[in-house]
Parts: sequence; C-alpha cells; structure tokens
Amino acid sequence: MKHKIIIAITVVAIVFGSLIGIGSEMQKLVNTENESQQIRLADTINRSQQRIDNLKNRQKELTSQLEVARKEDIHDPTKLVQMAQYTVMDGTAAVKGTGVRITIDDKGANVQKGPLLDTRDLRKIINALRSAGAEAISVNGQRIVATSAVVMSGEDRIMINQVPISKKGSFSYEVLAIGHQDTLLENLKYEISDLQESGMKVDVVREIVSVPSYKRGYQFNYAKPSL
Amino acid sequence: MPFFSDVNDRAKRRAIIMMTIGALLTGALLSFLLKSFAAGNTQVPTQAARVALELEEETLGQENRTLESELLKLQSDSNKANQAEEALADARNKAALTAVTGPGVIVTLDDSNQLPSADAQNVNLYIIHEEYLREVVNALWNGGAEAIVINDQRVSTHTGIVCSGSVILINNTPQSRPYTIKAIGNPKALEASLDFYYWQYLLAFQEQYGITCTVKESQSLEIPASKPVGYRYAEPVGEG
Repeated sequence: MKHKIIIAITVVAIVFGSLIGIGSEMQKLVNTENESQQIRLADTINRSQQRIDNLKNRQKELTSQLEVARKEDIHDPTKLVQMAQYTVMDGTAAVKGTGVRITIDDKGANVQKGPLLDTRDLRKIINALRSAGAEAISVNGQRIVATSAVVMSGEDRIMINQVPISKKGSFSYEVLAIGHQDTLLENLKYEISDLQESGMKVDVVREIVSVPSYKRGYQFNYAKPSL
Repeated sequence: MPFFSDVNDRAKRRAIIMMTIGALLTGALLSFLLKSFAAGNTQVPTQAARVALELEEETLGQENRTLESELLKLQSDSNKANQAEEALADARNKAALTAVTGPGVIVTLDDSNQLPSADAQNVNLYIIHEEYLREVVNALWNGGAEAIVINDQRVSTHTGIVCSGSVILINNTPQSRPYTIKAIGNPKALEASLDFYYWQYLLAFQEQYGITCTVKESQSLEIPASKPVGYRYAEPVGEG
C-alpha cells in the first residue's frame, strides 16, 4: 500500500514540475516580449484615441457650421424645402428614419488573406437597396451617393468614397438603409441567402436608423452646368 | 477513504499533507498560468486595434479637410443674396439635378449580332447583362467621373440597375440595347480606370462571341439631369 501513496505523490510531483516549467516559460515570454512592447503599444493607442476624439469633435463642429452656412441666406420657405431635398439626395445631410440594419460577419474567413465578402457583394447589396427605393444608405459609416465607388485597395482593404471601411481590425460590415421596410427586405432576400450560403453570418433587423452624411465632398473640374 | 483504510496513521497523515500541499501549489500555478495566457492574448487584438485606429484617424483627417474647405468657400462669399442662389444651385448640381456638359468618355456595350437560338446553353455569353453596366459605372466613378448617364438615364444616388426579363431597368425605366454610357471627367483618367479585370473579361467576350465593348474619348458630352425625388421616410437631422 505504501507504494501506492508514493505513486500518487509522484504523479502530483510530475504535474507540479511540468506546470512550473510551463509557467516559467510563459512568464519569460510575457516578461521579455510583452512588457516594454505592451507599454509602448498602449501609449500609441491612447494617443491615437485622443487624436481621434479631437478629430470627431472637430467634425461635429464643422458639420453643424456647414448645416447653418448652407441655409443661412435662404429665407424663402420653398427654397428651404428644396435645399433639404437636395442635401438628402447628394448625401451631405445626415438623415434619420425607418429602415433596416444589416450586419454581416466575415469571421469564418482568414483575415490575413483579406475579406471573404468582396466588393462585388457590397455593390450588389447597395444596388438591391437602391432599386428598392432606399432614400439613404451607408456602409460602415460611409454614406452611399452616386459617385461612391466600392473598390479594393491592396489585398485586404475595401474602400468606399476613397476611404478604408475595415472596422476594428476585423471584417465586419454594417449596412444601414432608410426606406419602406417591406420592400427593402424583399429586395435583399436573394443577396442575403447568397451570403449565408457561403458561410457568413448575416442579420437583418427593422429599425429606425441614423445614416451619417457624405463627407468626401464633390469636385466639378470638368462638368459644367448646361446653359 | 478505502484507499488508505489499512495504512498506519502516520503514513496516512503524511500522505494527506503531501497531497494537500500538491493540490494547493497546482491550484496556485494554474491561476498564474491563466493570468499569463490572458496577458499574452491581449497583445493580438491590441495590434489590430492600433491599425484600425490609424485607419480611422486617416479617414477623419481627410473628411475634416474637405468639410473645412467647403465651409471656407461658403463663408468667403460676401454677397448674401447671390450666396443663397449659389448655394441652392450648387446643391442641385451635386444632387445630379442639373444637366451638365464637358469632356469624357463614351462606352458602348451591345449584344452580339451572331446570337444563337434562344434555348442554346451559352446564349448568355452573347448578351449584355445588368452587371456589366454596374461594373463599368463603378470603375468610371473610381476614375473620377463627375457625371454619368446610361442611354438617357442619369446615374444618381438612387439609381438601381437591375435585370427584368429581357430588359434592363435603370431608374425603374426599361432600357434596351445598345447601352451607351457617357461619363464626364478627365478622359485619360476615365479610360485608365477601365483597365481592370472585368473590362478584360468583356473584351474577351467581344473576341469570342461578338458582343460590342468599346470606349472612346469625347471633348463634349451632354448629360441630362435626373428627376427630383420626394422623400417619405428620411428626415434630415444634425450629425452625431
């Protein structure tokens, strides 16, 4: 019987020993690799976050000043209504209304290799929403207007309005659309089942959504109003 | 405890003490290990977070510069009455509600003349599909197009291009072959923007099946206005 105890103690000792081994190995890793890097990284992130907060505050200031400046000298109520209509159409006004929120999760894919959802899928979704009479659309915060091209930049960045729309280092997408909910959902059916079949997680909910304004600006260097 | 039932008391006590110490140390080590793993894991999302933040910063910076220049332009105009009219005309133009003229390119897409019988398996290869139009339009916008029209339909924020039987619906208006896409912008840049895989694929179809797929520069294009839209669901609100 005594040797049974010895066996038991030996097993404990072996487990114990190997744990110490793994533990100290882990600690070495954590100590040497992480500590200084982690501190520097945390610092970089903090400063980046601060600059982003400042930029966001500045953007709020600018958009509200612009809203005022665009209408400032228009006193005729008919013209004010027209102005509101034009700025919904060119996307420079942020809008709110009933519609749908579509979230697409790409996580099954190899993030290093680039997104599973491609630009063609996004263009199809946008086209389906447009033909369903969507009054405003955004993809990951970028308002979709006439000139919004959806293209790849390099191997792993999707660009809309010439800015990257990848979010928080992973490929997830949020498409917002304002319009008649039943029509929007009906038109999306085909595109959504297509994406789900290829293994993506897609959720669609009816919601009151806030679609941000288009901030890229318009340039007319070649097109002149016809006389 | 049947395992220890016939061992003498001393050995029993000693074994229990040893096991207890072992168990305690194991527990302590396990909790330490878990902590190390947790610390190790935060590094991966942290690097990713840094990249994401950089992108966000870049985007916000670009957007703010554009907004600033528009604001400056609006504020620098001193004639108030003119400014109101100008602001309205400017917005109407951005919304694609003004007819425009300028240089650019004309793209022509058409079905093949050597169409096989309608029930032939590969008949699809001989005709122009709505996706071709969408891909070309997307490429032209990417090349800096300022206005686009397909046949007589101006492409606006709300323009859908969908297939409905044998016709293509653009702005819910049936369009048929040939499809003429006019785009105003820098002709060279627009032409260069068409140099992408999809265009190559259309050129290959032209070669093999006889579809038409051409692009030519033009110094003077006329592009009509799109129709105004009445909004029923979207309400302008302040940002943020």
